[in-house]
Amino acid sequence: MPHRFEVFLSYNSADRTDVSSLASYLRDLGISVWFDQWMLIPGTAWQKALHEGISSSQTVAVCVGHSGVGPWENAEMMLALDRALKDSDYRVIPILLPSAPADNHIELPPFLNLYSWVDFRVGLNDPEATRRLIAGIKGNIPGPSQEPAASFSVNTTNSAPQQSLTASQNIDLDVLSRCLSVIGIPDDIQPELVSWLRTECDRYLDRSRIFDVSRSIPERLQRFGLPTPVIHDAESFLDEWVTSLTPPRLLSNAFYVSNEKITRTYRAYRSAIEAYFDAVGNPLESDAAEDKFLATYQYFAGTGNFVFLPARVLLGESLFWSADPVFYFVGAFMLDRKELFDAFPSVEVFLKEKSQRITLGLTNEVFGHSDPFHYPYVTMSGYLGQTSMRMRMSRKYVAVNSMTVDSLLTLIAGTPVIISGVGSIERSQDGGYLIQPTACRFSQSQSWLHPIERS
Amino acid sequence: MIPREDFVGTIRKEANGQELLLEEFMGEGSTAVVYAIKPVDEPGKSQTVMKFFKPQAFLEMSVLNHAFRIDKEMYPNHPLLMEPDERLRRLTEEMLTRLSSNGFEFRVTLYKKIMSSAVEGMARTYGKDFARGELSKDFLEDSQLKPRIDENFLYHIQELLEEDNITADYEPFFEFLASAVPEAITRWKASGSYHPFSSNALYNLLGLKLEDFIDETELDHIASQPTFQEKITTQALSVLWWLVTILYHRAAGLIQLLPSTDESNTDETADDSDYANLMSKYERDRQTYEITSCVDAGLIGCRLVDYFASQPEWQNKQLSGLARLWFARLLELLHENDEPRRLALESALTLLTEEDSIRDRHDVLLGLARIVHQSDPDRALAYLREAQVIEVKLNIPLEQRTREVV
Repeated sequence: MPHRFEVFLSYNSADRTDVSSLASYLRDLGISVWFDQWMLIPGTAWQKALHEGISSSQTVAVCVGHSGVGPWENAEMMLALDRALKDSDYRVIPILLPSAPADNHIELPPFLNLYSWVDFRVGLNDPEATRRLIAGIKGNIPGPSQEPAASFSVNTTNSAPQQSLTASQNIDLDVLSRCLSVIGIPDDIQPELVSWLRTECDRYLDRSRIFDVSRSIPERLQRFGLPTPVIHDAESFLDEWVTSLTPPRLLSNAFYVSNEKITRTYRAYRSAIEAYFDAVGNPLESDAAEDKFLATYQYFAGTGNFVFLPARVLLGESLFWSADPVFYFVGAFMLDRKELFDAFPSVEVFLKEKSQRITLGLTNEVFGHSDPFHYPYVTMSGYLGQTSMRMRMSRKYVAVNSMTVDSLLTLIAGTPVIISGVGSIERSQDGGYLIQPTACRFSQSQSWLHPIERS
Repeated sequence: MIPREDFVGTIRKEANGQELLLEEFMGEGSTAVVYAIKPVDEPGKSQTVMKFFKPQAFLEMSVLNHAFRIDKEMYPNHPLLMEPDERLRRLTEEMLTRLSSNGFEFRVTLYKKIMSSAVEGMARTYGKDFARGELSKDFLEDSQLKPRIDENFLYHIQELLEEDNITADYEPFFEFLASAVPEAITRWKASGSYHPFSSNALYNLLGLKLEDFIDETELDHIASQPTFQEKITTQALSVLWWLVTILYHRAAGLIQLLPSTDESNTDETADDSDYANLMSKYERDRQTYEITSCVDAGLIGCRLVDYFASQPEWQNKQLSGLARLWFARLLELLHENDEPRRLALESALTLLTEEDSIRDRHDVLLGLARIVHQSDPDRALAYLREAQVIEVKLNIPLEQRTREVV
């Protein structure tokens, strides 16, 4: 019989929620899954269908949670084990779900112990377990652990799996929902709003239409009949969220893209990123910096290691949990003009004497200067929420063009601008925080600068 | 930097000699600055728009560029109006600052290309030896290479590495370079033998001319300033001479690659063929421009070497003679008439008279023999004979000796 499915999920009905998440997650990774909730037609003889499901699948994943193996699961499992004894290509993969006991005293049928386990007890977003499971389903040797040395702060508050290649799956729904509540969006309309946002983000991952989501936000919010202040806050909030979910949009709008940082980050996580993309059957082919950025971004978002900092600001939570590797940040920043004037005394004179005639030429003079050793780094200081930050960027990666000139001039003139982007944050030697951006843009959002008091 | 609006009322002299009055500042984008202009000799003609693509030296300067003058009649109170001496003083001051900046090399297109070629050349010459573990320890001491290795070169290598712009097979070699070059620079600095192109005032002065910050008259003025001359050492002159030879070989190489004028694909449709011819012409024009730039820079370089080497405090006849020899060689690339070449070579002959100059004298003699062999066969023969005497003196193998018969 041809294998119509790559994996048959066998489980105890008490673990249905977790297994349902696992099924969706595997499906999103492009794996054909036999999951009874999707396959059984009400009113049909399900025992026969189960038998056919096992027969037409290449592997059987036996999911074990806190309730152990269920009665029907036992029968399915025995059927699978029987087939595995006869067919060496047929694989049985025992899976420990997050609810399985933390110790190793799990009572299981002895035959199941013959097979290698995939352990999801840390959480369904565990990248190493995911990699091993996919290798098992595909019949590949998993190889050594691909987990990067750095520790991640995995958000385990959400039981839904985070790993996915689609934007909508990357939204931390729990955090999003709490943010919407803080802004003042009633609970009863949140599901529809979230659902719409998920769909829109997925639709507009296409680079050619990346601006369309934000454009449609105001109209959509008005349909809910929300008061204007709420619409205003939600608009900027969703706009930033959409930008964070559609990284091509960030790149297209960026005034700063550090090829060097993209390369460094990619190199640091290369093996994990490549394994992640190989595991989903979508190996990386391009060496272009933009593709590396998108792959890195997708990897961190897909493994639940991408932190949407404005949400933490809005929710009044601690900005830094641990060694979070990648942040989406929004804040108000001012240029360190002392450094600027030391490097370009003529600019200070120019500003004093002819401030009414500031042009693109002045911006070019500073940011387009050809000598890379002259004013190599641009330092800015500002705030994320109420936390003071400094930001350092290489001048050579600052883009001077008609889209950025006004904001750059604003910075030169000593006025703060809102900057949003992706990067890492580290503790500087003076105990403060230092943002090392990878890509950033000038943002329109205002309400992220301080926690909203209204709620 | 001059405010863009202040160019209104100035007259720019184009390469073809036409003068254009800039009447209005129309605006600026990221790639160009736009002015409404009118030809000076056709005041009745309506305004047209002219786009100056960046980078343009005149847009970066705080003194009016040599290609501009002010229309004093129409703009008697122009903000840039000043006495010529005052302008020259300010220009000199500004240019001396500019040529002293560390990374000025990155502003000069031709120098950036030379830097990239040096990196490629280094990879080709030494990359395989490195991979085989046979790289000589002192390969950075290679006299052809050493003057090109400096902080800018290191920055360029690090940038290539940091942005993943080096193919995997050459990556270990470049990583090795990134650690070996700083060590070499430190060593050279300690021993006083660090004289890269980029720290050479003459090299940078030539860069200012190449990028049109100054014209030749201004270059001569700056070169004659005591504050500039105190930066010039014998080493600086030698390095400039090296640059001249690099420019020569670069131009000669580009001439070899120049697409033929009659290259057109007759198999294609008329439109395709037109397009192909247009692109071929564009490519040819672009390369011709680059060749001319290299030769022009080389000629000025020769002139500078000659100028300094002839000064009483230098009296370096060999360098002076070499400068004239290479001046002639550069002219030969342009296929211009023989007279200036002959004069340059004859004057070189009077300078290359010392024992340690006989190799260069030999080359001068052969050059002269080729130029005069039709107009004056006897003289050509005399040149040839002397060249052959030198070859014997230098123990040149028989098969490599000149057998040319006039």
